[in-house]
Amino acid sequence: MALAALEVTGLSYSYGQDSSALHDISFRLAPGERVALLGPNGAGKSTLLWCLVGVLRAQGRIAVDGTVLRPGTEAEIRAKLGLAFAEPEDQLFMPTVRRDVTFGLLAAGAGSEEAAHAAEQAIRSVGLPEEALERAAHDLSSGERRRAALASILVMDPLILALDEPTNSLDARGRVSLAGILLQLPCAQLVATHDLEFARALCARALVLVNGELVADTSMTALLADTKHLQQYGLTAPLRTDDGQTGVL
Amino acid sequence: MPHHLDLYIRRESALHGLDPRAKVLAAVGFVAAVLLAPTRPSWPLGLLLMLLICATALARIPARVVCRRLLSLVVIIGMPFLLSRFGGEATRAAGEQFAVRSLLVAATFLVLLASTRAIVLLEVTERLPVVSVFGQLGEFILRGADLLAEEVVRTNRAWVLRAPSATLRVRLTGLTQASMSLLSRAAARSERVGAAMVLRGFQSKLPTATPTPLPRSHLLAGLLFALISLGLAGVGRWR
Repeated sequence: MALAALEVTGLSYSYGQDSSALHDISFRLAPGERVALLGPNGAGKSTLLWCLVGVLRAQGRIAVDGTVLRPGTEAEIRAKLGLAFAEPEDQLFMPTVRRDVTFGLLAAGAGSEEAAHAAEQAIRSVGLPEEALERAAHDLSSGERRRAALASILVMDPLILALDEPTNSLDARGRVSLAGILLQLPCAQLVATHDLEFARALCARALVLVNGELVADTSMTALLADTKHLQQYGLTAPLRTDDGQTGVL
Repeated sequence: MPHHLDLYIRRESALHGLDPRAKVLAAVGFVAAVLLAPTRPSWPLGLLLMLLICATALARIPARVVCRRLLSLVVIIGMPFLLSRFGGEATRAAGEQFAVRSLLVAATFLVLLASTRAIVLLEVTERLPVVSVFGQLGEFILRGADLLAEEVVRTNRAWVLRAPSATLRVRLTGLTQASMSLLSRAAARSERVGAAMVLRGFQSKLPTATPTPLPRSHLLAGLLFALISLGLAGVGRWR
């Protein structure tokens, strides 16, 4: 079997003694594969992503490109697996976007010129002008902030990109633009979202998480055709209008 | 950064165009002069005030803006001054000196902040070789203060929207009551920011790119201002 970009086996995590946030999660992600991690609010999607980068210490085995996550390998794992937060504001913490985008490279010991060049490339790759590098994060719009945060991860050239609710606070044009950027990236992607339309545009495969359990690992097409299960998983909800007709949200 | 703390006023002026490192040098020299200037005679302090007014005019910053911003510090500066009024003659004199010098120092930093973007100023303080630890510590404190300020603004907005006709007193009471949740939210956000830093390889020291060299003319301008200030204080003390 070919080496998986990401291999998760028997992953469990609980916030307290009685609340199991994730229970026995196992899945593989092939190099370059884009997979949607679907689930309603509170299903454990973000928790799973935090566990993958070792910020939350979970039980089970996580291997990124063959490197197993354990004390001492976190830095290596984090260099290979980039995580885009649900709130880009939290990820843009330096005075300027340039400082944010070059942060990881400089911390890894890259030279100033090399980091500056890489930052310019990264910012262009997410569709922002180079001038954006000199701006403060709070000067950017929500969509621009999202892209700048993405650039700060892409500059590290990760093997896997994990995105937590990437369409939060984006308008329709912003979503299409982001999807266009993600589709061009060669790295494997794990997209945690409850935005089915966005997931369908990006991913061929879906993992469905409900109450911390992986309840489905299937193709997006099969999942979207299965209305009954979509409702059961909390990914869609019936909407009854005033004239008694039923639709789906 | 600190968009909530940013006091920058956009202008096309010589002071705005001066390298921020030269401005910091000039400001530090000026503050040292204010602190070293003698109590009697009082003309050195008067001349230093004139020098500051000139710098403010050079920066094309309206004096009323600086005065208005100084008002927010009046409580901090005014309290010890008022308390000193209840003491003896020496205490009263010390209270006056404290008030005058504090106002001058505060006005200096207000002019510096009005002519320099806070994000640039932060980068400068972070790179000062002698105070790299303090610079970074200061940056963290400022960043924390900014997060807190942002939370205050948000809480205030939420409060205003839920009680549009609330008086300032009621709003302040609301803010006080919400302060604990505000602090815990700011702390939670700080945790997420901390995680973002760790995920990108942060290891106790903020990485910085190599700074560009400080132009000699800018260095001389900053140095000259600092020396003139210190000279005034020195002459006053010697006289």
